[in-house]
Amino acid sequence: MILSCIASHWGRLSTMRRFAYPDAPHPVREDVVAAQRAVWEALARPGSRWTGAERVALAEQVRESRRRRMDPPWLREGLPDDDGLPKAAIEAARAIAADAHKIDRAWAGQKVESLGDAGYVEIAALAASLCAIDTFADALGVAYEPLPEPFAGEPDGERNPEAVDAGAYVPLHEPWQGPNVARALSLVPGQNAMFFGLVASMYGGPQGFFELVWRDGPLSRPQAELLAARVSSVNECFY
Amino acid sequence: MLLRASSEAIGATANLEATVGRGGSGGGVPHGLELVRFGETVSRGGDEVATAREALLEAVGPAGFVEAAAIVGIFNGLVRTADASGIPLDDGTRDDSADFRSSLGLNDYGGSANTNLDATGAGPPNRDVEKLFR
Repeated sequence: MILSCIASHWGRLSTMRRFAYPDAPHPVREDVVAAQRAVWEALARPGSRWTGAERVALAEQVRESRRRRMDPPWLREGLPDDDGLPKAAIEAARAIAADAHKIDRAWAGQKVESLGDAGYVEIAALAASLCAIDTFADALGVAYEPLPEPFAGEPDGERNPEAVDAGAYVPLHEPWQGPNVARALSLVPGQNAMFFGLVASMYGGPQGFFELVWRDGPLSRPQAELLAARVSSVNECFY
Repeated sequence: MLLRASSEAIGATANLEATVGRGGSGGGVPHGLELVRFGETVSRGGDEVATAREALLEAVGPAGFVEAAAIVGIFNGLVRTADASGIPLDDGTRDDSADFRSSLGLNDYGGSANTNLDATGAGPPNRDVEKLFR
């Protein structure tokens, strides 16, 4: 018990030193840094279906696959070993990281059948969070934050009882208040919160999603939306 | 959709062709060309990122550059949540984006199969952000 507390405290202290971005040309907003640290903390802990060690191993698959995203799949050599993860989990992590626009209902259905819908959604949340943070580092031109050391413990089996078939590959929370895309991962609320905590800070932050005119920030809303739309298009994302 | 709405909110008109890389323009948005190139090169990776980074930094300054980096980052996450989950467009987004989705070729993307595009309504344009996404 005491050792567990010490390990947890040390892990928290270690996380507090992360994401300092000393080489960025301007200080990164504190809410962005806090949100990224929160993801690292959550990433290392057991989730709904996966242990902390499995989540960190999945994150490594995501990071390395995204690095090779522009290579054809048959040329993506040197990807990490499986670390004992199920083949379907590795395939899901790699595809979401590098080829998300190619995912279709049949492929997702196979992964859901193999991993369980919550297990698949948890991988999607991990992949989306890590891709957002690593892309931010690429954009700034700084090194990636080393992945965290996993915490011990067992998955909690979280699965939203109010999630229903709403036409997606996975059940979604219904009814929903707020931007529709913010319920994409709502089958596992803790994982949805992990990713959308990042969204709240990195997408305009305090200026607010619901304000069409951003008055105080360094970018105008149309500048941010042009950039966002181009990124979506480059990724061939219909949504 | 929010590009058009937010531009209209300040009395401007954005050229949406820039969002799909057509015309080599910045869509009529200040420093739009630098923003577009930055978003493209960071998302794709490769040697051109450094040049795009320098150009954007020069154009919008350090604070704007870091904010742009955050937008590029989070949208590279958001597209993956949408594509991995197969979430369909909500009715408001579907209806309000019907005109430019077709003209820009967005309906050709694989993810369009998840939304019933035939159910498009014919209501007036919506410029209330909260209602846009319901």
